[in-house]
Amino acid sequence: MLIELRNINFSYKDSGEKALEDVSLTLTSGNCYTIEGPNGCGKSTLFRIMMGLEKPESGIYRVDGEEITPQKLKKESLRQNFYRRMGFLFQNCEIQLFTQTVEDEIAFGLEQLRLPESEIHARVERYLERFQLQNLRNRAPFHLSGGEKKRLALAAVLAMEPEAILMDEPISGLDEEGQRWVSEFLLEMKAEGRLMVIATHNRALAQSVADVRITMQHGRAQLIEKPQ
Amino acid sequence: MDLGFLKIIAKILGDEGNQIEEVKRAAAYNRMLSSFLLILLGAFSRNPWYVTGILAGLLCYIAMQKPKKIARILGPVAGSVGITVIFLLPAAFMGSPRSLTLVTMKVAQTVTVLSILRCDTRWKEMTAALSNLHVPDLFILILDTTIRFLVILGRYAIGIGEAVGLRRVGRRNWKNAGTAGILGVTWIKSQQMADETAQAMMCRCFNGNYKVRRRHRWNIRDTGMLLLDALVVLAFVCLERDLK
Repeated sequence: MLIELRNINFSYKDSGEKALEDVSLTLTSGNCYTIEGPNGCGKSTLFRIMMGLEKPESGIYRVDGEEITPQKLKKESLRQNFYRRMGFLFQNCEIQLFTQTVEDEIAFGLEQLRLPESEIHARVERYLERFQLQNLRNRAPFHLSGGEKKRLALAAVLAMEPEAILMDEPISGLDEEGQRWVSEFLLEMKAEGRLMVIATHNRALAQSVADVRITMQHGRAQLIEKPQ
Repeated sequence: MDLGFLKIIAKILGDEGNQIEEVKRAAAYNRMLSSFLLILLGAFSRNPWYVTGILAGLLCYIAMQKPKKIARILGPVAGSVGITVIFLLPAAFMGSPRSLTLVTMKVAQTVTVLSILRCDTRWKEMTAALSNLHVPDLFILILDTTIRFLVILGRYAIGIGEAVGLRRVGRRNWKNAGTAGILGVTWIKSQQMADETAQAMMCRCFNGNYKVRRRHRWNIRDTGMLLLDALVVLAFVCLERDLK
């Protein structure tokens, strides 16, 4: 998978404030990228553009050579194909979980992909086990702890087996144990060779998982470095 | 600003999961239908013997529960019965004491039935049960999401209310000044949440297809409940006919 952002500019409609300024990036499969920067530097906006949720003011966003815009994603076949390949973990997990049980939450995306029932069942079991959620399978996501919600949100996204996964602050709001679990999991996931893009404030996490570190400041992707 | 209403919603919908015991019961849709039937027949009944009989049956059921649960069931009943008696007390002095007893018993019966249903059935079971009653699954998803938002927003508003309360110093009347602010912020938050949830659904390929996965298998408890319902209907018909 190849994700290309060329001279992306974006301003907030209500305030007119510039969120992204001339951002150009090329992201390729098998690499883990971290995007670091202070609050309000444009990390989440960049992710929203990459997920086709926002249209850039100017610039081009391409996935495997095909330009992606919110308008284009209105077409169901393209939308299905795009979101099957791109997974997104929102910063606020509570909003991302909307079904009645943990099991339903993992199955939700798979049902949208119209997979056969046996495949859905197999994947649900696999991801319940992988994320240690078996004992919580009939619980309402609403009643889970912060760490459990984060694990469930990750399981729900990964069960769709996307080629690329974007994670907005995956360890924010977690206790030390939760942070360690997610960090270890990210390293495990990296070994699978997916394209991973992680927005984080946590330098230690970035250093441990990143193949390429991108630093953002005032809407500009200022520095790209490869960690030692 | 009085946030008691939001606290009650959060308590009923948010915390109930921890308080309901995991025991085998009849299907939630059966329990809901039986409750609806009891309330409906109770409202239509003019025979005090019918209402007394149902009330006695309900009290027998309650008596078999644990003390903590009995308190949870009877708490709202005591309150509503007390208020009803106060409102209907003039009727007793104006020559209609029968109204006082009958209406009070009907209120007690209705609130007891709802209270038992609330204590025995989780919210998610109730919404899932709608699927068995052939309510469209998408409607259930929307209902569930709306209720969940209500609880999250309730918690959020309570948090703001408490923050305002802590800053309420001096002579300024924060109680009134804070109301508009809390409602405004909560409204904006609700919009953000709705947008984000819609986007989260879109990012997981949502195409309008949603299925409630678990359906209840009919068992002996369901048959028992159905027989009880039939018995209640029979008692209602016989006793109402006798009244004529």
